Amino acid sequence: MQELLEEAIVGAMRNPTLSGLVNLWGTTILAALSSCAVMKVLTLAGYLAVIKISDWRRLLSGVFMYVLGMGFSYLFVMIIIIKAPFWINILVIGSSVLYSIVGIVLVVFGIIYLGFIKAPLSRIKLLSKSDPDHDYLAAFLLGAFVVLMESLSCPICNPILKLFSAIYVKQGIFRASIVFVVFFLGQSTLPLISGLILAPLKQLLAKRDGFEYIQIAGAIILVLIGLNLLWLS
Amino acid sequence: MKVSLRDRAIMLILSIVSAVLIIRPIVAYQNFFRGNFFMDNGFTERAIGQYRRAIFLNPKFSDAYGYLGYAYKREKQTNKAIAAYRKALEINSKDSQALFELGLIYHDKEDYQKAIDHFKKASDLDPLNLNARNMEAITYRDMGEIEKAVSIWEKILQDNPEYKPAQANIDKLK
Repeated sequence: MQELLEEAIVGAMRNPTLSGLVNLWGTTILAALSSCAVMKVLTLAGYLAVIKISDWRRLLSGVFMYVLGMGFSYLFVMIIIIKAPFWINILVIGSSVLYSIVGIVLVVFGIIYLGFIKAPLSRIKLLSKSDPDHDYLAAFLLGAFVVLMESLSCPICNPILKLFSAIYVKQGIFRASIVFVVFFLGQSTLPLISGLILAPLKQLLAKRDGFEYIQIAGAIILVLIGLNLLWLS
Repeated sequence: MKVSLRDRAIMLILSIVSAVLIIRPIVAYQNFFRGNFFMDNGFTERAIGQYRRAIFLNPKFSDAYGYLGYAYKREKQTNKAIAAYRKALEINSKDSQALFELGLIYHDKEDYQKAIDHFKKASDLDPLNLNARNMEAITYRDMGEIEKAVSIWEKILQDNPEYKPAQANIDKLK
């Protein structure tokens, strides 16, 4: 799959026509169905389920922020590969710590949302419901952290980001940026589709008095993802 | 709260158990990829940890055994590397890379006959693996059977004139 995606990227760079870009987008969607897709989609599903919002438009805005966070991390890792490759070693060591921290945070939040621990979540500014902007910031951070963790060890993302770094250096920013945006759209398609399904579903279930069950499901997903990250740390 | 805490705990435990049973192979792959990531960046000990976790979750994961063997080899833990490669071959007897790597270890240990057996099997399974045939010839050379070595190199060059190591090895003998 990695070779196919590399071919699609090189093809789109040589011939940036609509068909070349659509081919790259499609190949990226297929490539994104690797093990990291489980983490991206499940984390998003868990997040959407536990937050108190049930209006589908606001949930979708959260999904977009999550995807933007993903994009931020892809760019961040790529800039590090281009500008400061020696930092990669620090990121390698740091990734284990990051996995542990994010894993523990997700398990703790999952347990809190399950109701086993009473914690004054409303006092945490980031989770306060008085200002909806905070929901978006949390979604952005979640997307950014998930990609920062998985893009380093993902068998698809890591070599592809290295390829993009080489393209940026050798072929210039303009054409490389167009191709990178298409790659990013391909990577975002699955989370966006999940959001388009899950957001209206949550609104529907919440209206039918099922909010508590949704929140329990979301909390369990967060605990599972947290345990998964701890196992991988 | 409609759902009691006890029911929530049961749901959580059941979910964890189901996840362990159902997505175990996926998590094993995650460990495997993370191990490769550590290997690529030179953190072999961490890679070994990840491969071992992958094998713990999926004991039939032959690629993980193969890479574990390679990691042990890098760490100069030869006996553990041999054990890992053997396990990989036990699961997948057609793993030509594991056969080749095991041949290299036996060659380094100067157990030449075993090395030749493994290089032969590797090149039989993967005729395009010219390195296995080249190593077979090198092992014959190290055993003092120069004629056999040269005939293998000549055969390689006959089929693949662009394979430079074969010509280089012949030139070294002159």
